Amino acid sequence: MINVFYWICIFLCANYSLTNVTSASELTIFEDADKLLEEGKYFEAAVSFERIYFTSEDSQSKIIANLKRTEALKQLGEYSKARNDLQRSVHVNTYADLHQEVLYQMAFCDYMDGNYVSSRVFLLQIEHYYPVLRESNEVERLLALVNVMLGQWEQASLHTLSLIEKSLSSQLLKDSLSEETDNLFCSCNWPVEKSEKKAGMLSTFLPGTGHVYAGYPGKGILNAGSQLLSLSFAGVMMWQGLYITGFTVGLGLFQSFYFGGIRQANFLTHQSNLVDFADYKERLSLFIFSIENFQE
Amino acid sequence: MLILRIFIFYFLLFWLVGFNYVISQNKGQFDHEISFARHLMGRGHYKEALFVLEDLEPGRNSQKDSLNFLLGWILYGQKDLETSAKYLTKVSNDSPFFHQSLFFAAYNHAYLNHTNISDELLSSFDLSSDSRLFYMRNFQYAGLALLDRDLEKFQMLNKKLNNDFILTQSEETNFVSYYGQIKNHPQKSVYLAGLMSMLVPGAGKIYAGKTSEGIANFLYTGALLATTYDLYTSFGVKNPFFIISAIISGVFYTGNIWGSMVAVKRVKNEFNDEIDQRILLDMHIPLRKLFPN
Repeated sequence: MINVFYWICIFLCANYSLTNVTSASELTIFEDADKLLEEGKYFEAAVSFERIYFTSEDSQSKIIANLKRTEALKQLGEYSKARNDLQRSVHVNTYADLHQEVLYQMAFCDYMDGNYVSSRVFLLQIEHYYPVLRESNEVERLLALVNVMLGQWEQASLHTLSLIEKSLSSQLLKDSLSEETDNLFCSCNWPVEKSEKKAGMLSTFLPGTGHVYAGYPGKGILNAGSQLLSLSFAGVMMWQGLYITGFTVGLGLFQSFYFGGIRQANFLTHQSNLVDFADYKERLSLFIFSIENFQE
Repeated sequence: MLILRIFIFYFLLFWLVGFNYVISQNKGQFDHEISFARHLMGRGHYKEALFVLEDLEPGRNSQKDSLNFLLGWILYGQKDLETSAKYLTKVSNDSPFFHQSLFFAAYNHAYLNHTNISDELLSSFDLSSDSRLFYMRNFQYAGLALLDRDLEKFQMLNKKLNNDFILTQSEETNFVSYYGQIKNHPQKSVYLAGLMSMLVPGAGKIYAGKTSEGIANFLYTGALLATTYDLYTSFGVKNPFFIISAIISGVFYTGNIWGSMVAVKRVKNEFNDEIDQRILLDMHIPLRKLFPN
């Protein structure tokens, strides 16, 4: 009888302590991972949160671990990896708060990774499923930025104005920034895409003009001058009776400068387009980022 | 006396339970970390998997094998083939991963151009009990013979491959095709290419198989030589323009001869590299089919 009593005691005791250890260890692991994140040990923190995701059988804990892992990966600049890992939790919509956070983080990581179309898709999902979150400054800002990067200037302008309206309290400031937004996003300031084909055609019929059209007049003058010089050299040589030299050196150089000039005009137009659009997008993005600083 | 007996009994009982608990906890912890590392590998997070495995301290031999196999496999995934082979060869033949480790360690060495080590590894174990592994080894031997350009050995090994093993069927056909390409690949002479370019600029490059380069060589060397001749007939030998043109033409003419000789070697290397890459790919595909995980 005494033995049975002892066995029962051992069983209960063992069972209790095991249960306790499991929950306590899970809690400790979360705390440890959080501590690593706070200490700036992002790689270790990312591994720890992934371990929690792997170990935990509770879907809520899994999503939390996944979101915290995203924070660590974002600090490491690994947006693509963070986005792919978040994909595991995007279909679990049992916990609305967590689901909307997952959608926002996916949109954010896609934006940071340069996948603007995909980012907009997640923002549209937020708009559809969580209208309250859609009204937040973070989502509005991201919408404005994504539209800027996609070249949707009018949409971006509307979101920027909405962000100003939501994030600022001073009417004077609002009016001033709205006016600045209208100026910045004005169609008169939109970068115009230059045609590479047109640049090539211009340089074909009038050397150097394609460069001028692309916005590089100095290079145009240099190219046209080079062609003129090489043609003159060919002419002088032939005048002197040096037909072979005139043909091989003079005309050889001329054809190099002529066809090279056409190719260069195409390339410079392409470059110019890239630079113009990148500059404009950067100006707009910086402005959008600065809006909430005005409040401070 | 009875109390003492009861005390000893429970003391031993607690000790036994406690000891087993600690052992099972350690084993459980190790297995859990191995599973976690596999999970990370499955998601392509090799760096994180390595980080997890680095901290593990295996106790039993089977744990050491699991650890070595996984480290080797991760490094293989990261294309660090030298270190991968080192870990994979540490896996003992008691391990369920032994054959996979053996074949992939041999493949890694083959990729690193250490075909002799690869051959040694494959021949160091008796695989006759498993017909699939035995056949795969012969297939790998055939690939190694092709990589070594030992065509006689390949012919001998190819007789052992009867093209009825589904995993290697198409690759065996490819091997025979590579054999033909290697055998029929013309052996071009470096000196003949040089001589041809000496007589007609660019001809050596055309002979080497670089036709467009040869035509370009012919055009610009010819143009320079013609200009030099033009200047010579108009101004004579002492004219500085002629001297400059002659020097430039000489440099280009010599360069055209040297370039043609190099082109023969370059074309030969390009052919060898391309064939080697194809052989290695065809050695690799059946291995991945035989050991999918």
